[in-house]
This record gives sequence, C-alpha cells and structure tokens, in this order.
Amino acid sequence: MTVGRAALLLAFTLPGCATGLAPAPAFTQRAEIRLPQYRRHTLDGGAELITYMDGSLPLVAISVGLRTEAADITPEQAGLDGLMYRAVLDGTEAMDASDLDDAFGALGAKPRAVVTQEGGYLTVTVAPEHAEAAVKLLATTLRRPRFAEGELRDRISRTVQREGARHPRVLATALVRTAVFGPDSSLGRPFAGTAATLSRLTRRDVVAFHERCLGSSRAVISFAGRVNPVNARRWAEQALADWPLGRSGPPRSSVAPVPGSRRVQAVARSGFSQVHLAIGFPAMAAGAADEEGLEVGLRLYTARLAGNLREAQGTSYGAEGWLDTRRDGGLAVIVASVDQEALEDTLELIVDSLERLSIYQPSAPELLRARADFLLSSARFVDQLDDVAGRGLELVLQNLPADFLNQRVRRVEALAHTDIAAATRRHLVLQRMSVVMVGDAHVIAAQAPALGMGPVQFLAVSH
Amino acid sequence: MIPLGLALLLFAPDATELFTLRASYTLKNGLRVALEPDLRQPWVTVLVAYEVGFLHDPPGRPGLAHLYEHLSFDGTDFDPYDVDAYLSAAAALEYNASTSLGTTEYHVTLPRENLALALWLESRRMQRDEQRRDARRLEVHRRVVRNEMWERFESATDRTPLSVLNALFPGSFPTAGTSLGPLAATDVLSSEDIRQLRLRHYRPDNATLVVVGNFRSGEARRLIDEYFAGIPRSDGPRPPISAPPALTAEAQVAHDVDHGQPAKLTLAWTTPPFLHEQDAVAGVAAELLAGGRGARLGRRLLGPGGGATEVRAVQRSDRPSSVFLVTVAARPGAARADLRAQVDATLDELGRGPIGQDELFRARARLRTSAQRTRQWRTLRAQRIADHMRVYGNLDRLDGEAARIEAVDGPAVSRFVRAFLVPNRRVIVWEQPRPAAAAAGAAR
Repeated sequence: MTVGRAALLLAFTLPGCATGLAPAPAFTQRAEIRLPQYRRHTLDGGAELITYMDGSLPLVAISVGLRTEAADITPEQAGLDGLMYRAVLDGTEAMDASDLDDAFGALGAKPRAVVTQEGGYLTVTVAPEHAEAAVKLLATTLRRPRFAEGELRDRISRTVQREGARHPRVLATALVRTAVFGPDSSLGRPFAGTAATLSRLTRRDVVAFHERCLGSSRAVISFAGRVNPVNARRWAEQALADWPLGRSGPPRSSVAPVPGSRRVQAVARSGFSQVHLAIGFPAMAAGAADEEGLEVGLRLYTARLAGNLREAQGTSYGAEGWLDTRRDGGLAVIVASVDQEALEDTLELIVDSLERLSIYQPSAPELLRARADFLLSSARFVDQLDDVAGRGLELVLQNLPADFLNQRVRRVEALAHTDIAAATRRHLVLQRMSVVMVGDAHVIAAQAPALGMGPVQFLAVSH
Repeated sequence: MIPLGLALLLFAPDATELFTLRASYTLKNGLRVALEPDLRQPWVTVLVAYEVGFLHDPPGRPGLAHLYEHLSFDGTDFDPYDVDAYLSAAAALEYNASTSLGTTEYHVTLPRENLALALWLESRRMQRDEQRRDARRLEVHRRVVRNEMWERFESATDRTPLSVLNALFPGSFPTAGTSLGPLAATDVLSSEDIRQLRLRHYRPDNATLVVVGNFRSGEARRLIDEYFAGIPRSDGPRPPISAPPALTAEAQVAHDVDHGQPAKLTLAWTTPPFLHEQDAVAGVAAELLAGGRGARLGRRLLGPGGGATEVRAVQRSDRPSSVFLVTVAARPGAARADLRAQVDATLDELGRGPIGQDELFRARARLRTSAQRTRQWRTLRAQRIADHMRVYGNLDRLDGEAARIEAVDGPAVSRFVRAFLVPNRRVIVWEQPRPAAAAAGAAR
C-alpha cells in the first residue's frame, strides 16, 4: 500500500482555565492527512482501471461504471441517467430482479447505484474471496440489463415518490442548482428529474441511452481494499471481455452558460416551523486554478455564518457549505434551516456579510482552521473502502489525474491569504447569488425582501 | 523511513491482527476503560458514554438528557472552557454527541498527537460545575435544540420514528403530546434540573471511556490516570437502568403527511437489547424479511403489481431496549388493510418455518460483510466497545459477532418471530397523505 501524505501545521493555543483543575495540554501538532494514491491503467478496448490496495480488513470495494457526456441527455430527459443506472438492478437478460438480488446476496453484497453528472456506477463491498465473482456480476448487470417495461414503469413511479419525500432542505439544495444555471443547461437540469420529465420517459429512451453509453471505451472499474492489482486487472479484463467498444475519444464537455440574472425562488410548504434555505453561486470546474482558494473561502464564510446563527442566536441547528465542482463547471452552496421567525434577520445577515466579505480580513487562526477543515474533509470523504473505490472512479469520470487528491493537498498548503481572498471575492458575490427557500409562503413572502433581490418567484413543484 | 504502523500494514499477512492488541480495565472510581489500537490511519477516537438517555428523564422533564448534551459543550461562568473551540482548533476530523434511549455519548476523532487534549476535555466534562450556568447560554441552547428537533422531525420522512418512539415509550420524548411546534417541555427545564441530572448521571462509575485508533497503549494509560483517576467516585447509588415495559396491547397511530408524500405503514416492537443473544437473531430476521428485492417482503410487495414501492426491516439495537421496525411505503391506491395483511402473512410464514438454507446463507453472508464494514467506522466501533464494557465489563466477546450470526439457524428465527414480533406488543403507524386541496389551501 502506498499513501500520499501531507502535514499541516496548526498553531493554536487557547487560554487555560484558572480553575485549579489540570491545565490544558499542548496541542500544537502536525496533523497528517493520508489520502489514497491510486494506480490507473488503460485496458485493451479503452476501459480505465483504478486500484488502491489496503489490506487492513478482509474487504474489497468494487465499482463498475460508465461515463456520461452532457450531450447524452436533453433537458426534457432530466432523470434519464439516474433511471437507467438504477433500472439495471431490476434484472438482467438471465435473471429477474429477485434472482439478481439473490445472486448478489450469495456474495454477501448489496449493490448500490451511484449517479453523478459525469456518469454512473454500480458498487458493492465483498469479502476478498468473492471479488472476482462480484466484478463479473456487476459487469453483467450493467452490460445485459433486462429493462422490462413493467419494471421500468414501476421504477419511474418509485423515483417520483422518492423524490417527493425529500427533506425540504434537500429539495431546496436540488432546486438551487437549477436556479443558478437554468433548467436548459447540463449543469442546471433537475438532476433527479421531475415528475413531468420522468413520466415522459419510455423504455426506448432508456435502451437508447444505455446503448449510447455502453462500451469498454467509456467503462471505468475501480477496486479498493485487499486485492492484488494483477488479479484486479485480470478480473476487469475478463468482466469486460464481451463488451462492445462503444464510442471512443475523450468526452465532450458542454460548458453551461451562467445566467445573467440571479434568482430568488421559493416552494410553499405548510406545517414547518423553519424555512429551509439554499444559497448558490456559480463556480469553476473541478481542477481549475482557483478551486482550492474558493473552497477555503467558502468554509471561512460558512463557519462564521454558522457561528452567528447557532452559537450566538440559537436560530438554527447549523449551517454548512460546500463547493461541488464537476467536469463542466461548479456550484458553491450554503444551506441552513432557520427558525421562521428569524428568517428576515438571517437574510439580512447573509447579505450584510457577503457585502463585507470583500473587506473582511480573517485572522490567522481562522484561516488555518478553514484550511485544515478542507483538508480534513478530504480525508473524511475517503474514509471507507467504498468511498475510496467510488472517489477513484469519479476522478476518471471527471478527467482528473489519479493523484489529484494528493496534488490538491499540496495546493491547499501552498495557498496564500491573497489567493483565498481573490477567489472568494470573485465568486461569493451578491451579484451572482441565487436563493431558494422552502417553507411557509406567508413567512417567505413577507421576509424575503430583506434580500433586496425583488419579489420571490414561487415554484409549483409537483414533487 | 516507513513508519511502524505503515510497515505493519504493508507486510503483515493478515492486518486484522492489528485490532487484537486491546485492553480493558476499571479505575478505582468505577470508570470503565477500553483501549483498541487500530494503526490504519494517524487518527485516534475518544468516546465517553454515560448511562443516561431519554428513558432517564424525570417525569414531566422530557428532553433533559438531550439538552444537557448540548450544554456540556459550553463553558460556565466558573469554568470558561469551550469544547467546540478546542476541538475545531485541534484539527478534529469529526466530533459530535448523541442521546438515545439509555445513553448519551460524546466522541471525537483527531490527530493521534492530540489524544491528551481529547482526554483532558472529557475529564473536564465529567467534573464540571453547573451551579454557575449562564442563563443566556441556556436560552440559546434551548433554541438550538428546538431547531434540531424541527429539522429532524418536522419533515414527513422523519416523523415516523418519532411517532413510533412516542407510542413505544410514552412520555419519554420532548415532543410527546405536542404537534412538534412549541416544544414546551424543553422550555420549562431549569438550571436546577440540569444540575441534578449532572450530579446523578455524569459520574465515573456511570461512564465508559473508549480509545480507538493510532496510539501507544502505555501513554494512553498514563494520560487516563492523569486526567480521570483523581475524579472522585460518587457517594450515591448508580441510577437504576431498566428496560421499559413492553406493550400488552396493539397501539395504533395515524396521522396525515404532506401532499406528495407516500402513504406509509410502520410496525414496531420493543425487542431485546444490543448484545442479548436474541439481538443477532433479530438482525437475521430483518435481513430475511427485507434485505433486498429477493427477501420475503421484497418478493411479496415490490415490483410491478406489488402493493409497495419500498420495504424495510431493521433491528435498531440499543440499550436498555432495541426496536424492531418494518416499514412499507405504499403504492398509490394500496389499501392499508391489505398491506398489513401481507406483512402479517409474511411474519406468520417466517414464524412457522421452515426457512430455506439458501436464504439463510444469503442473509448471513450479507450480515458478515456488514459486520466487517462497520469496523471501518471508528465511532461505531467505539460505541460497540462501550456497549461490551457496559454489559460484560470486558472485551472478551468483542470478536464474536460473526460467530453469533453464524449460530443463528432457521428455528431460532422462527422462535424469535413468534415470541417478539406479535400483534399485542406492537405499534402500528399509518401515515396518510393529506388531500391535495387541503394541502394547497394551507400553503396558499
């Protein structure tokens, strides 16, 4: 096993307490960040293989996926990719849904479909002795789906129902992407689909999309855990042996235009004591030069907002923010659920703090903490083997190098204060902000003017 | 130079050996201590579990244990230390706390070099003085708790467990008997309530300290002695812990959910606690019922023509009682009575047996994988260790999970279903979507 390493120096000391109890021990220490260093190979036929060895537990996480290009789905087909990747688990040519589930069960596995904007994949975690059979079964499931008409209609109906049951904050978060980029862009299309787009999808659409995407030239397989890379390569080649070549060449990006106007939208939901807020800003694609600067800046801003809302006022359980950078562009998001009686104050606070951001000088400890927080979150995202396998596969889908995670650590460590300030000023600005609120219509209509963004557009969201 | 831990991972034929150099002991003041090295990452996790939860809240004071969990991160007028400030400054990978039926636990994962700080902070939490509590901070925390409850339970997706818990353990939750709106119970909790709770429950002989991760055993023992051994044992007896009485008649709850949400049927039973021999049996039963599309409820209710769009069964292992849940999301138009009959028929079949060897093999295989996967989650691992210490006082049986799963056979599952998953001990919750017109009117 090889690991990338980085160390970040923390220089915090807090005052001890004059209570007669033992004083606080020193904790100015180096925090090691170990991130997986993947090996990447291109197989015959163009498929990509990503491996990461870790023998500490008798487990192997395996993911088998396909790259999706922005042009594979039209705005009217929003949700088609999610439907296809999940529907492959509803049966293969040789096995119906129950038998397929039993086949995975015999390996001790529960397959899961993951869908991103750049593609999708099936993933399982199994004991090492089942790894060869598992990758073969995953490849067969993806290669030879049944797509039975009845199962597809059932899957669509379940998807509509599941999306309708989303937590209001999750709903706000999903909608803010569309608010920022517009529904016609590949970045802004409702990722999970809507009741309208999903119900229009037919078996023909699903089969055609599957045929467009299926091919070894678009395939990615990743292994993480107790696996020998030589075996992993052999198993991957065997699993893809009967796959068609598929379309070759690098993926075509479809860079979405950023809308010229910002939006403030709302979904009326009664019976909530809180208003659920999602705030979005268009951002850069994954791997862009100022990505890390904005990540750290966003964390600085969100930490201060959370401190105000939770620790100072108690009007929210917390606020969080993240930068979701994708192959074709990115989105900076801040979410919070706030006591509806405090909505106006919260919105004023957000506007005021964004206006001050350009002149705000974070203290050295704040800056160090935000930088550490980013690096630590990178470690959290690859803490489990299935995360490691999935993240490795997604690096390929996003056209990022296999050592991207470790490169990024080095870039974060090299960030100067001016880099963070510049990226933050460029992206976290009121003029580029869109807001989505889910909650009581009266409360939102009455208090949203505090944003100074004009009247709220209420959306008729059927789910 | 390759660090020792990394070298072991590279060259050890079976690195799971790294988990077995563990130790457990009890300090003179009654604090149970467990240490488990895990050298895979440069982190160390410290967890302290106190035997106080929702079920220990005094009559008329629901929510007290949970509110105190929040307050204990703050300083007081007398002692201004602030756990949040220290941990965020000390590069904590993750820190949090939770309150369940019978336990409040605090955990942090941070760089191995900061083990001393984590232990120091937890020793402070164990011996803090609540008499000088800042009234303004108390009010802020009340608001935060209120927002947490709203955030977790006001959405329809999370309301079911609340209904279930309120019905299974009446009066024990801060939202019992309310519409979730005022959370009046939290508002009446006073500084004196908080002081009494701390005195009764936050004491070394009512707690377990677990250290998991990358640390040197000798150093950990020395630090634990330094920070915890001097905390005096409490004079009074430990607060009693008893399982809540099981229901003797079926309880039924119905409520509306927002338009757009699916109708949902939930059946819940209190079942034996974590580490009871029946706990493993319950896990296998849940897997046989709803472990996937091929499981019994999956085959009966899912897919075209089935009455459900989703089925779940789970044994939520806890102490002093577990809860077994079966949840069925209804297809539009499916009748409650029909779904209930289908679940009952499936339970009846499982109770009568026989259970096929193939389906048992699959259920056990999935649970074995799951048991290995949970070893990756340091906090969950630490929680399990704390439970072992509470129940057995040592870690001798910690590696027995796989064996416990393997020992479960078909007749054992059938006996469990007949003994525990019976109509007169269950709560049935039916959630019905509010009619569209009413929802639209309310939302305007």
